[in-house]
Amino acid sequence: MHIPDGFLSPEVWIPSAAISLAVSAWASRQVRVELEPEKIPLMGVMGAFVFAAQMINFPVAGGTSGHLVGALLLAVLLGPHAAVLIMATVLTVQCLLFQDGGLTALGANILNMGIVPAYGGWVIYASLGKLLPASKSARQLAIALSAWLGVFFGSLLAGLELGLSGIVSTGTALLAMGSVHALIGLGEAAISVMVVNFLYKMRPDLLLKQSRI
Amino acid sequence: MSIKKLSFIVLLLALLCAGLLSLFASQSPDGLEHVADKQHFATAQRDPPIKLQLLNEYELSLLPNKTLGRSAAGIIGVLVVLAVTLSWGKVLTRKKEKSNKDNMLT
Repeated sequence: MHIPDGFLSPEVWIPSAAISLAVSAWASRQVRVELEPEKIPLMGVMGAFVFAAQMINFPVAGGTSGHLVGALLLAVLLGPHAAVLIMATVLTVQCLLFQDGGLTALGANILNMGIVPAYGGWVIYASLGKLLPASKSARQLAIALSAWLGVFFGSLLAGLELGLSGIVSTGTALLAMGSVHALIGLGEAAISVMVVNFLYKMRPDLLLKQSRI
Repeated sequence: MSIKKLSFIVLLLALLCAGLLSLFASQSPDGLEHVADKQHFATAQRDPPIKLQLLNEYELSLLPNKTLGRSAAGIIGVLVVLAVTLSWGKVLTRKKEKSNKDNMLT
């Protein structure tokens, strides 16, 4: 889903960059207030893991592939603010070091793959946590659903950005991005559940208090 | 299990994914590339203004072997993300310590 340079018009990438910058600044203030220093090593290695996992494309239907986004997974373990900052870090490293994703498009990519799935997914996850009874299957369902929705809506936003840029019709972009990422989202859901299950087994206290179901 | 030990395990998994598993990743175009091809706007793509040739497209061009190059690129990426994240994590925490010290002085 990494948008390269040349796809987005300035009317789209400039505001996207501004929004991502503002939200990241706000997120870092939240992290500064909430961050427990003992969690810093975990943040670092989870960021590294998300970067690594994003390298492993898996096939989905019709000659296409997808990869993990990882934002919701990070949010469940470290909170949505830290998740946004970590995703921004991963995306920036990918852009600057590997030319994966454009530089002008970096703001949009952070919006689509960081801010939307982390905050949006988190709201869904926390809400489900309050609605559902506390059990392992409820937690897994909440993770799977919010992970899928985060990727799906992030992809729709990407489609909207492409449409508003005039490079493709918005309707076509939304349909095409949404349908492919509806499938990719299944991978996101499965991997997110597996990773959280694994970490929960090692350290059940790591899941944030608000999200514990 | 301590956070340190858990972090170490996660880091090993990350290195394994980036250095080895990534070599078996699907070569099919991803969702966006597929849409761009089908809708004929893939050619609009431009190189980013900063273009390090060294690690372009997840391959360390220094190494003669393509597989080694991809593996090395993955490992480098893992370590860079780790280092950058730890850095801002420490900076964000340090400011808290600093303001605590200021509060203690007044």
